[in-house]
Amino acid sequence: MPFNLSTRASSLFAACLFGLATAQAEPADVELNQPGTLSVCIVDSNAPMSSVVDGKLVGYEVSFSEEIAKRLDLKPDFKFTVFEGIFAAVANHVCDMSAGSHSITLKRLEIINFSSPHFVGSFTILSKADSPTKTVADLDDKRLGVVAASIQETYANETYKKTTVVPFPDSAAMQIALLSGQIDAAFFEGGLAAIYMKESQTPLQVVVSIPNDDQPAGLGIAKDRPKLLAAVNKAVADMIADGTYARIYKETIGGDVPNLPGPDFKPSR
Amino acid sequence: MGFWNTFFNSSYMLAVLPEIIRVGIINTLSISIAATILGILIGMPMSLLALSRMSLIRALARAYIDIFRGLPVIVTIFLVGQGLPFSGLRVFGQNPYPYGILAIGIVTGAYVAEILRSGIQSVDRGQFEASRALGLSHTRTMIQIVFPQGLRRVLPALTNQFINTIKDSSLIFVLGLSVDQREIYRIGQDYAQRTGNLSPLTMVGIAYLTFTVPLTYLVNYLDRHLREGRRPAAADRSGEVS
Repeated sequence: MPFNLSTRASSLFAACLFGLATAQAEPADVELNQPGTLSVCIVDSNAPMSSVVDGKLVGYEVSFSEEIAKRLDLKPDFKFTVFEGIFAAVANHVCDMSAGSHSITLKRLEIINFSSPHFVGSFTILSKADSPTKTVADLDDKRLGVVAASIQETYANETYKKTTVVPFPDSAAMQIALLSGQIDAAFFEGGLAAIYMKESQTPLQVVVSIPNDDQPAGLGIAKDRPKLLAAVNKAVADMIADGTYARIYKETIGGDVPNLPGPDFKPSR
Repeated sequence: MGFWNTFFNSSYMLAVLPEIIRVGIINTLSISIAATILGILIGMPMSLLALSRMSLIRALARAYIDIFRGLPVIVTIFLVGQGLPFSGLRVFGQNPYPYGILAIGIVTGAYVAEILRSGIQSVDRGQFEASRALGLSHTRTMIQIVFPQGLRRVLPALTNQFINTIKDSSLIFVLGLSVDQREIYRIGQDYAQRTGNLSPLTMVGIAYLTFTVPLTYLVNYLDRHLREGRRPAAADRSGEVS
């Protein structure tokens, strides 16, 4: 029996409503490991970017990723990764996105794509306050700890040619090695160095602090996921424009909120 | 990124091979052999102490064996490798190697002690009694009669432990290794993280298997031949008591 017009019209209307409703419940068609979930690889022991405090995961990268997931209508699912494994993890789809506060570099772009810059920081070399290693010149023939695969490692290998560069799996192991005297100085992310300076029971001193404006960080996304990249880039742009970026920065890091390079940023090294 | 390209990309595998051979193998083997020697030097007396007639000595030896068999090796490496310098006992300076070898050696010693203890206890009580009846002291009996027999029985298990020590050597990187100190795993991991491709780690696996698989066959061979003992020749057998 054929539908009469009113039934057909109402069916069509219902289908449109349903389609609209579904379109609003589902984000733009992005590539994900699991529909509805944004799995995010992050690094542990990396305050103020990502660390566990009182059993809860907190930090700039955590808040930023949660906000991105919200804007894409997805549930965030955080996974800890060793920093040096984070790029392979994204490239091999272990997670949809990485938020390891990693700078956008030419070498890393060979492996994964990055969102437009979402963080800009610095890096700092610390030594114990009673150590003779006080300036960059004192680093010759000394042992300088770095986190494996970090830009600090690249920078140290390129800049401090007479120093023994010693990679560690994470900042925590490096911090212990600094305090126990196994290394003479350690290369931290600026924010983490500031926290250690404030909270360390053993007094520490700054050997050098190097701003990193030309190497902003981006969120990592696999090269074969252009739609996810586009969606994340839109979310980042919106967050900068409507003040969410500044709010998250102030809440998790504090201090002056730096300007970010735009989406057309291209790394020089 | 296909499965095959991620794990078996031949150009990445070949790229990492020269460094594995030139730097990695010698470092892995030197850690493993040094830790094993230390483990035997600790384990042999510890196994005898674990069988001491004095209960306090027995308890202390037991505690050592239980603790270092119970802790994950990576924890022991941290406790020894960072803990000693932290508490001011920088006995080996800033070089992480000796601390790592010490840590793995301590763990190996606990396993070796347990293996040897069970080997000794598996020797027939009659051997002990006959030796004592012949006038040998308790200590001489244990060292000269019982222990050598027990050792022979557990050579397969000891070889197994050597395989474990080779694998444990891959954990030493947590203490911070410089470029020339890297063992096999670290070299592969450096390549893998730089390229995002896991084929270098496949080559690392192959390098480890090159040592561990032949050792496993050696274990099986020893197990078959030492357990059964030497068979008497036919001529001797004819002279048996009728």
